[in-house]
Amino acid sequence: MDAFFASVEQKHNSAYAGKPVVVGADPKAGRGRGVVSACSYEARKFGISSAMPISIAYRRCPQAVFLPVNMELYSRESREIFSVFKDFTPEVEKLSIDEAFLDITGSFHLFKTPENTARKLKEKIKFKTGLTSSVGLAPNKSIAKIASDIRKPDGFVVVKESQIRQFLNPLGVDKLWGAGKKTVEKLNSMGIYKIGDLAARDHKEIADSFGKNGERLWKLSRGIDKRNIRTENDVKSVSNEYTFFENISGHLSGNISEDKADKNLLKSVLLKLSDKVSRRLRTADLKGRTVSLKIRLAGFESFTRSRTLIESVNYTEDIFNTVSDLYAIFNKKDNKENKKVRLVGVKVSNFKEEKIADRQPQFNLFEIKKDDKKKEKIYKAIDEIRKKHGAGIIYPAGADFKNTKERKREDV
Amino acid sequence: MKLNLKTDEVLNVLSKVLPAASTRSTLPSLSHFLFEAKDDKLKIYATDLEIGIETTIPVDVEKEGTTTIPAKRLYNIVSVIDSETITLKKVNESTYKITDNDGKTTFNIKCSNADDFPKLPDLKSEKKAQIDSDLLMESINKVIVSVSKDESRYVLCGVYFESEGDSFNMVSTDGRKLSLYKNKLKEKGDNIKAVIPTNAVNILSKTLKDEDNEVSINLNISENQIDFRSGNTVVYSRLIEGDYPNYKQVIPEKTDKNITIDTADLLLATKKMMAVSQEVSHPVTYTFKNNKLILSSQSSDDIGSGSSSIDIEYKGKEIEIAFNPSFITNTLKVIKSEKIILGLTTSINPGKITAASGEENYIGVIMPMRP
Repeated sequence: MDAFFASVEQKHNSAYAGKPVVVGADPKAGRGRGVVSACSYEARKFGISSAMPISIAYRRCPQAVFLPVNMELYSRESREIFSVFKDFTPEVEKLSIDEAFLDITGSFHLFKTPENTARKLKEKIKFKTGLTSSVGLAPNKSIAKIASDIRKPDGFVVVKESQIRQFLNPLGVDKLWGAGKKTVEKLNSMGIYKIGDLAARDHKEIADSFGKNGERLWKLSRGIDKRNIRTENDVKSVSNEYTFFENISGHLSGNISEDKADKNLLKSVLLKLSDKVSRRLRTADLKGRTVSLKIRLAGFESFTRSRTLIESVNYTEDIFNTVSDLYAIFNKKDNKENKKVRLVGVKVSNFKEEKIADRQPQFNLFEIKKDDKKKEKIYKAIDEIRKKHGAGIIYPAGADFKNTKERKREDV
Repeated sequence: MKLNLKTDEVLNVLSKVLPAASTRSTLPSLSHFLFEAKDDKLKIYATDLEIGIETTIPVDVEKEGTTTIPAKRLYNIVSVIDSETITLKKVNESTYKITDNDGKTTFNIKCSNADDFPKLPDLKSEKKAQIDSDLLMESINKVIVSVSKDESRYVLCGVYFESEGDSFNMVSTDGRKLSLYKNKLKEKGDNIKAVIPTNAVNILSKTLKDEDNEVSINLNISENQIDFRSGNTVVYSRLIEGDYPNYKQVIPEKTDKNITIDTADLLLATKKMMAVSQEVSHPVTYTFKNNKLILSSQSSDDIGSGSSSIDIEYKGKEIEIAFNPSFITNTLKVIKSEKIILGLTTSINPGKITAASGEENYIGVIMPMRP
């Protein structure tokens, strides 16, 4: 989307239309701190850009409309836009609130050609939201991204397979995905300014100077990018967190000197979280090999401790056993001073391996199969009971405490 | 402290103790040797708090004393000295001087106060067993291959030693394969059950390699520590806590399909199959029928497949079973016998590998994969 936050503000208040609009921190007449989150194209004419200190933006254009970030409003617009995307293809990869990759390979025939599909998409967004967007249509993600950025606002750039080199070669290397300031400086020092310069080099030379990232950049410079669209369905991990809020530490305060009570409560929270993660994994028919424990101490230091198991797990006790082990090690090694814990989280990830393991499992000597069958039956029964009577109706005995306010998150 | 030392002798002793000195420790003193010179004897000790090695040699002690010396540095210095004897002498509180025979080469080395060094472990022996040192080495070599590297089941990351009466069992397993070696102690001893960390076992087999004595194994339950004493050397180790799984229950007692196979043939054919499957843990299928074993393998990336057949002695019911090929090769490596017996029941139950003749002391158990 073009100048998304600013455009949304202009749309919702016609008085801002055509005026320089800056969304971000309060400029406080030039003495404000913080940065510009977004600015309209009118504001850009004054040399204002996003991420610029708000004080500088104010100095460049004091007459601009300065607005605070209204995320709720933008989210609403964003949902609208993404629902338009979904009308064109299910293969949508969300990059940010106003940016996405769409794979239209499977759906462009509905609008005859890819170009026509992309045009229709742009038109429909304008029709539904009144906002302009910039579209890049290309054979892969990297080129599509560059193409969409190059003619903002209201851009429409098509790069066909045969035009890739011609399109990329004259552009600056900073346009490449993952070429940050440092990398660009280093490339420049090697006499590489344009993408074409990079593509002309031997890939070994680049790999030697930049390692893996160099190899990747070199490929991108030649228009090679094999990454697929990652839709939100490709869940990478399942995690639940628990923050000890004021009211809960109040529950604790009676026992504040009693460390043990705190630790027992923490264990019972971990059990509850493990059970929750386990349930969500089973609902999604997932098993993961890596179990992680996240701990944030009162001073906001955060720690993550992970362990990769031989086998994928999704049963409560398997997750909990690993997590409590990690917790014991954490206490011994990293929290010798016995600082108070503010937040704990349990995460299971590393699902991909399971598919291979599923195909070729190694039988185990000690996991007696009877036990596994029994476990399977128990969890099936639990899942069915929960389906019928709700998740709270049955839970592990050790997870019996009130006022739980977990924070749920699915990392994609 | 002032010592006159025979270069070769002291170098040999230092190399023995060196593995226990810590290389990356937060406690600098742990990267030092502790030297105690008294009554014409020198005791050298190093520890990383998990394991410790202590050895005593007779030397010419001109002046008694105690100090700690940077281990690796001292070893490096002594190893480059080409004269027959060296002198180690205290210069001041924190410096020692090492001089060769003719005084042409000298080194100064910073030492620190022995008070900072961890105390020598308690030599209390609550339970005891005597074993021939060669036999101990042999049993370690037989079972070390099946030790687990996966720290999520830490109790399997060690070798299990179990003695009762005058016999002992040495076991290792990673949950998929198991090695068992059983033999006799020198004499009737106490009942010992201990999980010895892999690292300690490896050090033990190096340190006691050229001791032709017997080894006394001492368990100090209250300190959760085991030690191995042989000649003038003691190797200490902390034990892995936790219950070792009931390994006896997973060793098949009776197998109805017992196949006699030439060890070298099986090893070679298995290696051939490993050439096509890209990963070592990819299954190889073994089909036994009519005095023939047919091995086959399909690569995980669908790049190719292979098969190979060898002659065996087996006329029983046909059976097809898949194994991780590295389990087979690792097990075969420790069997000297020309032929092995593979005992099977079904394709989802464990297989038992033993020598066809002799070597009754060794049993290898491997769990199949889904074909």
